[in-house]
Formats: sequence, C-alpha cells, structure tokens
Amino acid sequence: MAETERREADGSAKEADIGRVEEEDSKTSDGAGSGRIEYVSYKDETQLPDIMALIDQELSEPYSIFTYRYFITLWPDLCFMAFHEGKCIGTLVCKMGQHRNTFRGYIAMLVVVKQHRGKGIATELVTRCIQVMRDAGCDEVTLEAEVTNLGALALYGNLGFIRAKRLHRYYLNGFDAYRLKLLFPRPHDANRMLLGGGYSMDPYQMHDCSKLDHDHDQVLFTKATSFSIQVQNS
Amino acid sequence: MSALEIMDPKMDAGMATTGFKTFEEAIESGAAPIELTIPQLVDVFDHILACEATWQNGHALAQTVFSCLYLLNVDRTAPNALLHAFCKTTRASCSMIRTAIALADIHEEEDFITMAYGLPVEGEGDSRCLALLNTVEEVVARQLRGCKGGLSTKKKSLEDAEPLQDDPALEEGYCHAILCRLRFRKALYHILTYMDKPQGRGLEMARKHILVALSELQNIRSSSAFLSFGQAPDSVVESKERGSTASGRVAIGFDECVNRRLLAPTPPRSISILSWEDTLAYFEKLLQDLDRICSLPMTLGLEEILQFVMDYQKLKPDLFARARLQLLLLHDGKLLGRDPLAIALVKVFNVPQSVMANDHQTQAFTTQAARVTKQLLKIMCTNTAWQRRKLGRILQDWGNLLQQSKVTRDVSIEGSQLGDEVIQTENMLTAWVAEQTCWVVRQFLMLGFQLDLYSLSEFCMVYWYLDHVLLSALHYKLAKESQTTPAIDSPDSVKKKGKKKKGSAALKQPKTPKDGKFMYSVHLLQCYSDLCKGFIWMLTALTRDRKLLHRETIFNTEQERFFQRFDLLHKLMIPAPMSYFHYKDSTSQMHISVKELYQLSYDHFMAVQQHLQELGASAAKASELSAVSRTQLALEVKQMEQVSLRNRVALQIVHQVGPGDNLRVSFEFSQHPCFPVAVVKKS
Repeated sequence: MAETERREADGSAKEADIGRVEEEDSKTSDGAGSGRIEYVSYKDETQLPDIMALIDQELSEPYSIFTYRYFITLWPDLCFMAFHEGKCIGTLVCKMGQHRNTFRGYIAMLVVVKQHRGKGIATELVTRCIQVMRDAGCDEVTLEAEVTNLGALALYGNLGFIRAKRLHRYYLNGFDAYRLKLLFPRPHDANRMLLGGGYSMDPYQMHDCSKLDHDHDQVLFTKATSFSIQVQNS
Repeated sequence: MSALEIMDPKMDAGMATTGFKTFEEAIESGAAPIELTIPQLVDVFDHILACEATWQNGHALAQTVFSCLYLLNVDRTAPNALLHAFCKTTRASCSMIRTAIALADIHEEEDFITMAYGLPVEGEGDSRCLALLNTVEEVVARQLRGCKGGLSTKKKSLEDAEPLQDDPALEEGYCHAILCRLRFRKALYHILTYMDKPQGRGLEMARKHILVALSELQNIRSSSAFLSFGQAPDSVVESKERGSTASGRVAIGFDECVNRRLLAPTPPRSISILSWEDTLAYFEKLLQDLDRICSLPMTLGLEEILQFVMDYQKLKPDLFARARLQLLLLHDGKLLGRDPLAIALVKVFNVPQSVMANDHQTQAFTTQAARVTKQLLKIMCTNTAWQRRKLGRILQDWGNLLQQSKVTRDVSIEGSQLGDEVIQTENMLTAWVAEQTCWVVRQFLMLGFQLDLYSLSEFCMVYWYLDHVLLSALHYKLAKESQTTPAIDSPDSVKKKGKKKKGSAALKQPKTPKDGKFMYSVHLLQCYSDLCKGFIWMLTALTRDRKLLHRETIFNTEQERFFQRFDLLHKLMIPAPMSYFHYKDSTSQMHISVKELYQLSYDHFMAVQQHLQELGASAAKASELSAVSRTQLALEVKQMEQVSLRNRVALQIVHQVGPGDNLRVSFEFSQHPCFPVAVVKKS
C-alpha cells in the first residue's frame, strides 16, 4: 500500500503508490457476463468525487483533495476510469514531466474494486495511459510496487517493465519495493543501441567484443562432447 | 503530495485525542509506578529488549525504546535499584549503538534515523552503569544462593538479602529470570565497549562476552516456561503473536503516543513491537553476526578483506553489525585502522620502490585508487539493495581510474631502467584496475539475482553478459598469478591489428600460475563461467524448442530491456562493452540444432563439476581465507554441485521427450541465489 508519510518526513519521494491489484493474465474485459466495462478519460471535476471515493475506499493511504487535484488537474489526459453499469469500479492517476534528462511518465495510483479484479481491467487502464504517455513524447514510464504485490508485478512485467531497482524497506510495514521502468523504443537513436563508450563498430560484425582479454569463440566449442547426454537411465 | 487536511484524524496528528498528551501527564496518572513486583519488572525488562530490537530494525526511537516511560526519566527510577541499573545500562547501550551507526554512515536507506529529536539518549553518569549493574547482580545472586540453600532449612541469617517476591516456591525461578537478564544486559554492554576499540584491540574480549551473552540468551529463553506459567494458554494464538514479553503479559510503563509531538508532523504509524520470539531471534542473530566480525584476522590483506565482506553479506547481517564491520575496516580512514589505504594498495600493486618514490603519476594514481577503494569498501557494507545502486554509480570512478593508469609517462625517462620499470608498473596498475572493475561489475550483475530484479526472459542476456565479465576477470587474474605482465592493448590498437588478433588470442590462454595463492578464486570464476554458459545454451534451446515461452510486449522489445540493463556498463572500457546485436548473434546459433544445444549446455554443466573439484582442492590450500569466507565457499560448492546436477537431469528429460511444447520449464533459485534449477512439468 502507498506509504508516503514516512517518505515525506525526510523530504524524499513525493509520489504515492499503486494499490494492490490482484491481476491474472489479461483476460477479456467482460464483466463476469453482466455488462461491459466502459473506459473513459477524465473530463471534469464532477468525476473527482468518484475517483476520490474509490481510492479512499481501496487504499490505506489518506490523500487530501489537494493531492488529487495536483495530479488530475495538471494531467487530466493521464487519468482514466473504468465504469460498470454506471458505477466507477476502477481508476488510474498518473503524471509526467522532465526528470533530470528524461521525459518520464509516472503511475501514481491504480485501483480496481475487489469484485472486478482478475479481468484485465487494470491492464486496460494502464495500457491506455501508457499509450498517451508514449504519444506525448515520454522516454520512459516508472512506478514503485511492493515486492509482494505479485499481481502488479505480473501486470507491468507483461507490458515490458523491468525491475530496475530494489528499494530497501520502502514501505513502513517493512517490505521492500521495486522501481519498475518501461523504456520506449527510440527509432531516431538506433546507433545508441549498438554500443556505448565511443566505439563505432559495425553492428553485424560477428565478434565485436574487442578481444582485449579473451575470445568467446574459443571457449564456445572447446568442450569435447565426450559427456554425451545419457538418454537411457544410468 | 504532503498536503494535509487539518482536522482529518487520518492526516492531522493533533487530532488524536486519546491517550496521554505528555510524559508528565502519564507519570501523574500512575502509568509508570516505581514500585513494581518482580513479575512486572521482568515484563518491563523484556519489553525494553523487544523495543530495542524493533528500533534497530528501523523504527523511530520515540515509538520504541523511548515509549518506555522509565527511560524517559531514568533518574526517577533510582529508588528501584534493579530497574535503575537496567535502565541506565540500556540507555548507555542504545547511545553507543546509535553513535556507531551514525559514524558508519551507511544507514540512509535503512530507515534508521540517528537524530534524537530531543529524547534523552545520553545520560549523566551512564558510564557508571556497570557498577550499578554489578551491585544488583551480586544481590540477586546472593538471594539465589540463599533460596537454593534455604529449601532444606528455614533459618535465615541477618546477612541474607530480602526475597525478591512473596512466594518462596517461585523465588528461585524469579531469581534465575532476573539474573540472566541482568547478565545479558551486562554482556551486551561489554560487547559494545570492546568492539568500539580501534584496530580490533577489543575483539578477543568481545568474543568472550558474546559467548556469555549467547549463553544468557539461552537462559532467558528457558525462563519463558516458568514466567508464562499460569497465563491462560491460547491454542489459537501462535506463540509469535503472544506478545513482546516472556510471560505473555503486557508490560507496565510503556506508552507509544506520549512522544507524538517529537515525530514528523504527519501522523505516526502505529508500529508493532517485535514479538518475544522475534526479539530473541534478533539478538541471537546479531550476536552471531558480531562474532563473525570479531573473528576477522587483523592481518588480512585488502583482497581477502573484500572477499570477506562479500561473503559476510551473504549471511544478511543487520544494520548494526554492518556498521560495526565498516567501522572496523575503515577506522580513521585506514584499512583495519592501521595502514592508510594508499600504503595497503602499494603492497597489493607490488610496484618497484624506485618507481613509487620517483614517479609522480604513480603516486597520484595510488592516491586516487585509495579513495575509490575506500568508497568501495564502504559501499560493500550497505544493504544489498542500496549496494547495487551505489556500485552502479561508482563504475564511472573505476573507469576514470583506468584512464588514469594509462597516462603517458614523461618521455625523458623512457629507455632508462627507471623507464622500463615505469612501463611495467603502468601495466600492473592497469591490470589491477581492470581486475577490480570486473569484480565490481560482476558483483553488480550477480546482486541482481539476489535482489530478484531479473525476470525469466532476461536471464539469458544477463548470463551472457556476466560470462563476458567473468572471462575478462579471469584474464586479469591469471595474468597476475602467472607473474607475467599482460599485454594491455588499447581498443584502438586491437582494431588496427584486426584479423591478426585472432591468432594471437591463443597467447592469452591461461598459463599455469607459479603461485598457488588465490587459485581458488580462479577456479570459482571458471565455475561461474561454465554455469553461465550452461544456462545460456539451455535457455536458448528451450526457447527455440518452445518449452519456454517469452511473451511479446506491446510497448517495447528485448532490445530496450538490454539497453536498460547494460547501458551503465557501456561507459567502461574494461570489461569491454557488448552490444545487443552481438548478443543476438552469439546466441542465435541457427546452424546448431536444439538437441546439440542441449548437449552443449549439458557439457558446460558437466565441466562445472570438474572445476568444483579443483575449487575444493585449492580452497583447502588457501590459508589466507578467513573462516567466514571458507564456510561460505564450502557452502557455495555444495550449492553449485546441486545446480549442476539437477540441471543436467532436467536437460536429459527435455532432450529425451522430443521437440515441441510438450513440457513446461520453469526456474527456481532453490539451491544457489544466482544460479537456478530448471523444473520440468507436463504442459
């Protein structure tokens, strides 16, 4: 659960956390056979009470209205809601901005009500939001998730996030967190993908390891296949 | 994000209206009576220990140790000799622990707050706490002797002490309970003072007291049965939840909220004090971890020390133990408090004296290397999550150091004997930096497994890159061992030589080292390298064979993830940067069949077996290894054996079963933290 207070006490991370989402692999967004899920982007303040109520209900962190306004007023395009039979059953609150030398999206709060979990709703909300971030020019997207929040980790892992860092005892309950990061492809920067360090080598050169100190080729097939796999029981 | 709504009790600390508002109010209401029965006193002692353990685990002093009203005003407890002695010693101990952690300066990411916020952490005359403790211990010991002897005769002499409590039948039990707690407290205090002595002068004495403390901890443990007798046993509640005292009762004299105003403005979380079981377990582990530090031979050289720290960390020591280690290793900025790091490095470099004395650039390099090495040692004492991040950040420094080692020398000395020595020195220094950098990168990559950062789809690329790093490390290590100066060619000259290099690569094959020292580390690297290769080919084969599925991700590709993982390493020259395209080329091997790939993987796992035997043999001869490293190595050998064996079995199965997705393979780190075991299931 989001544990911002302690972090704020020493003036560090200012971002909240996502709520627990017990998410299986992406399933169809059919609401248990009783109505479709409707996804909407945030339009105006009349939707704010719904969002606040949902997050307050599902997450343990108390957020003031100023917190909500901060995110949703500045980045309305990054706020999404999921409706089922007229009721808001899921929401996502994010932001984006310049962070050192990258333009970065950040997922702040993600909630889906318990009864509707496991249906891919969270994945759908996140996917839509990331698309907006990508189209807006973000280089990457990031968030924190508790190490025990397997649902969230699976959700984001499936979308291409890696577990970039581990944050020791990030949460007040003593649990660690991962910082998850998604890097968008950079078509205009293809050369950077080849090598760093000022080497300009042909990418298709077979062994561009500079052979400074070892030879991969040599070690590849040195082992004589004298230990053949014992197919029969031995 | 720190916006608060005033008068919302969830956000506004001032809205909490229950409980005492100040310490004085609590005292006036009788929340902390000085007159305590012995059972109550034992509970107070226990709860204080539990609070200390909770505090050291990263919770606020104000809500843990200083939730004890007696500790908030220790002078007030003077009329109760037992309570007074215990409190004074507790406060003195906490102060020492807090100081040690603050000095070590590795606690940033541990949630350990060293500021006292006005809490009375230091006390006047705390150094005399031992005298007080000894006095009360003597009294209770006498009482214990008295009631043991007094069972047969009811005679009491005038010198006999007052009984601790009213029930003679329980007297002996309570004497024991009090005594072992007093002795534990005393032993702990001694350990702290002895370990604080610089240059390891107090380590031997500290070890003696650690033994005492462990023994008293056992006594404390056995007193639980006696103390909790009469408490209604609750079969539903597990012993862990029974509370933070041995008796299971709630201790008098504690109030979590009384220091509310001293905490950050946002509402303090209600923390749970460690259970009694967890408290005992915490102290037991702490004592064992401290003992390992005390067993560190003070004669270790720099490389053995680095090995020790790496091995020590595998036992997951807590913050205070790691702080203590760091203070020992780098006291006064010197290695083990003795040699300045620059001097220690000169010994490691084995540079000719003439060069050291005369060559200004070598001196400058040594100074810089000392700075970077000191930083590395400090980082190695932090918790592994933070350690990995910091290791990533210092790679830049190591890269710069490598550049510095290659600075062209003054032309005028070329050709002279000094000139030759200087060139030889340059090669040795460059080799040293190269080897150390590889060490840092290897640790950085392997920590990723221990921290569970890599997902299955990343394993292959990580093992591939790791293997590259290991081979680089091997090269420099072997070059050093064989006492030949490795030909350190710059990447530019390599490019110029082009295809010719392929032939001369044979020259760089491992030579037989003359010196047996450190051979175990060579064999260890070879084991790791073969394991990596085993995994690379197994993973490649399984993927191609559709027994391992990698999902397509809609927002990016494997190339981006490769970049995310290894971009940091691309800023270094050694180990040489490796590209994604190289990775794909190396591992595609489309001209080799899946079955042949399984065979190749099998062969590598088999080779591990052989290297493990060599490793065992050379480790036995390595007299320079510390006890901790030796134990770790023995354990790791067993783990690698299992990994090698089980993966070979898995390979046999997948090889036998035929192509296609008829089986599902997953990987579990059940044996070794960095090398998993393949688990095969029907799909």
